[in-house]
Amino acid sequence: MKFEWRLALGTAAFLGVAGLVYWVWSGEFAGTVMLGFGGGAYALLFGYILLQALRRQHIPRVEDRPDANPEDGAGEIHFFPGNSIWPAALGLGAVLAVVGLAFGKWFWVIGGAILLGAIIGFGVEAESR
Amino acid sequence: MTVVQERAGRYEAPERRLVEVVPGPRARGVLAYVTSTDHKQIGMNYMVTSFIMFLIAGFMAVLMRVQLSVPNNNFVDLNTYNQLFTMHGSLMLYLFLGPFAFGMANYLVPLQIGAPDMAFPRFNAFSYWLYLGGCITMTSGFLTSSGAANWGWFAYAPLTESIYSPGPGADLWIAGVVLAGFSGIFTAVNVISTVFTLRAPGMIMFRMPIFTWNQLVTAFLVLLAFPVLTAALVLLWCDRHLGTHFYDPTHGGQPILYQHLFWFFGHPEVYILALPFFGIATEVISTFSRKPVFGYKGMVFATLSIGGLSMGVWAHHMYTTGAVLLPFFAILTLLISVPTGIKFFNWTGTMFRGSVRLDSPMLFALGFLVNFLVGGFTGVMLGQPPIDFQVHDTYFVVAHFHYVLLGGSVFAAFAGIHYWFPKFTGKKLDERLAKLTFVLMFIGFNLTFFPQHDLGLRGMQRRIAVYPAGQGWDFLNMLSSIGAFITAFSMLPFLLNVWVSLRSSKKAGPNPWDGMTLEWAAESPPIEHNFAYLPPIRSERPVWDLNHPDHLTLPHGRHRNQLVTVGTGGTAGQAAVRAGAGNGGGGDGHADGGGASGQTGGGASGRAGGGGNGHAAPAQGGEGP
Repeated sequence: MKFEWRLALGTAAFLGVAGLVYWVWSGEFAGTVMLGFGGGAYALLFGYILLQALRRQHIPRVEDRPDANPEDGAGEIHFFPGNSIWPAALGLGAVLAVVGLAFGKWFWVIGGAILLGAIIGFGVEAESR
Repeated sequence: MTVVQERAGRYEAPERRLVEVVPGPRARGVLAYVTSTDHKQIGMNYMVTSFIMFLIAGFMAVLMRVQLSVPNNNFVDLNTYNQLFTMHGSLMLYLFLGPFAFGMANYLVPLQIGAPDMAFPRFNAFSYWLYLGGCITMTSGFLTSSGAANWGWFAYAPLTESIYSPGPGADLWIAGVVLAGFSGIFTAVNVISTVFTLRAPGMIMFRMPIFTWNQLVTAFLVLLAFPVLTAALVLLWCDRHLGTHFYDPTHGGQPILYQHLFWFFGHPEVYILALPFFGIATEVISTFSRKPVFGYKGMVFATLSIGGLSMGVWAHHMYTTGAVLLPFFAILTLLISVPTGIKFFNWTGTMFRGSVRLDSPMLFALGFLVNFLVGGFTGVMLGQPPIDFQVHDTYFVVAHFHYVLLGGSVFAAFAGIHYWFPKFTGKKLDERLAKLTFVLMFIGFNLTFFPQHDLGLRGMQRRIAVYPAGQGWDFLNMLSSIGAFITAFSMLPFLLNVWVSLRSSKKAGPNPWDGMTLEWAAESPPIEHNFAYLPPIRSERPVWDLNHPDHLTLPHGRHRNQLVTVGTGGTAGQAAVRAGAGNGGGGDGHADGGGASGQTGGGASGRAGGGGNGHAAPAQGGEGP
């Protein structure tokens, strides 16, 4: 996972350095804050991936081994859900709630109710797989 | 129905080992479409929806060009014209180009890295529904009594304050952009997770196709840019409805803050709309030159540095405000031309001494190269403050970004559509109609936008609906409008082509173009969870290595008669083979069993012949860089 954490580290470092240079040079706040927070966010991602990488340092993943064959990855990869109505229900609720930005609170009530129901449904489905 | 997929094993595996955990009836018809979590279905949804948005926005462009074709025209009234250019820009940028790229990412990234699906399939479906909601929300502004938003696609404050822009159309625009933005963020999370965790065995990061790399970098940019836009729009909404004064100068607010927030999103957004299409062009040029990508690693690092630099150049859209640090942004802006130049060099290098076939995807990719070069040049000009101060907000800028986004990205998008259409549908597009599409589009596009450079230099401002005669603008505007009609007309052969090709009974087969990357090892269209088998991955073009064992992909900088280590970035001193003689070296281990090739419907061309088809996959690939 070397490249993964390096990618996040590189992004964080670039944003951090750019933010510092920008701050010293211009003294303007909006850009400094955005660059700084962007760097911080990618530093979080970097930290997470680095922890993952350190945890499995001694067993390189098959996708990180240049000499791995397809059969080396045999076994369960990951859980992939089949058809589910809940993403569409979540989407409907979220869209109605956001349309409430234009048309007011009744959309929030209806959208929020659908959203809540969909979250519960999604959660129950995810529990039972 | 819930399914747990296991990795397809060796070729002799008679069938895919699928474990059905919760058996049940399978959804059919509309319900199957609404409940699908398959990345291919979602990717198609994205692409088709965004293409409809493209047609609607293109129609608005034609209306605008009719209005501008002659001086003192009254084809549409001024407010309608404002709505047209606002919605044209918003649809094209928020609802077409970006989501089209996300659709391509959804469909192709799992296929190119050998994954059965995206990492979070339900989350993926959710993001599509948000995007569809955004499309409906934003365009429904036209149905309100006060019309759609009319403040330009970047919605500068204080024009957007509620006293200047009242009405629900404006709020619907905000809601639509917020929804499309969240959809983009979720897709980006999905792409990054997929690329980081679901690659096939042997698919190290530096063997991923350039398209996947570019989508990965795009996802990094989306994660940085879109939350800022959402924040800016939430503040704007608070200004409009809750009586806050973030952007209201009459109460001490700062309109310039909005510009900072918007362009901190807006400039990475331009690269979000360009990088995936650079990736498409790279794939197409490589396949149709029958060569690996020239300077693969240079290409990756060029993409990474474009992505990085684009995060630090936002205020070059704000030079004329007089409130930004000109040298900082000018330096970073001009630096971007270096990695972009590397890309051009590598595209040319890929074609150089290749056996180039001028099929329709390649034609579109070449059109992309030509148009994008012009857009890149004017971009370098505009990046310099002295020039930008002269031509800011003129048609010169309009010509520049249309050369980048329409001439560049959309041409590459069409290259991608023509290239992957057999993969998406199992049918190949008709070549003659495709070439007609290209010729009309190329002529129409250049006729529309090349004169606009001159119009800008002659002082015509963007976004004016009516202009007086006798300014030297008349002829150029008429030329531009004629071009717009030709461009619009070029959509007819394309749509006809899609219609005819979908109805034809001719099957394309899994690999009609002799493609090199992993998606061509799957069926056309791919089966559920994508792969019945995977070829061994020893370079960045595993399918080519499988089909052409006597022309294995060599590590970069090696020649055929040298001792080589097979595998990208292999270090010397590891197990090496002589490229010519390596043929068949590991042949038995990877020989194509009859069962597998029967199951994959004939398999990829050249490997259906049976067991004797040795694939040299001998050497250890080295540690990588």
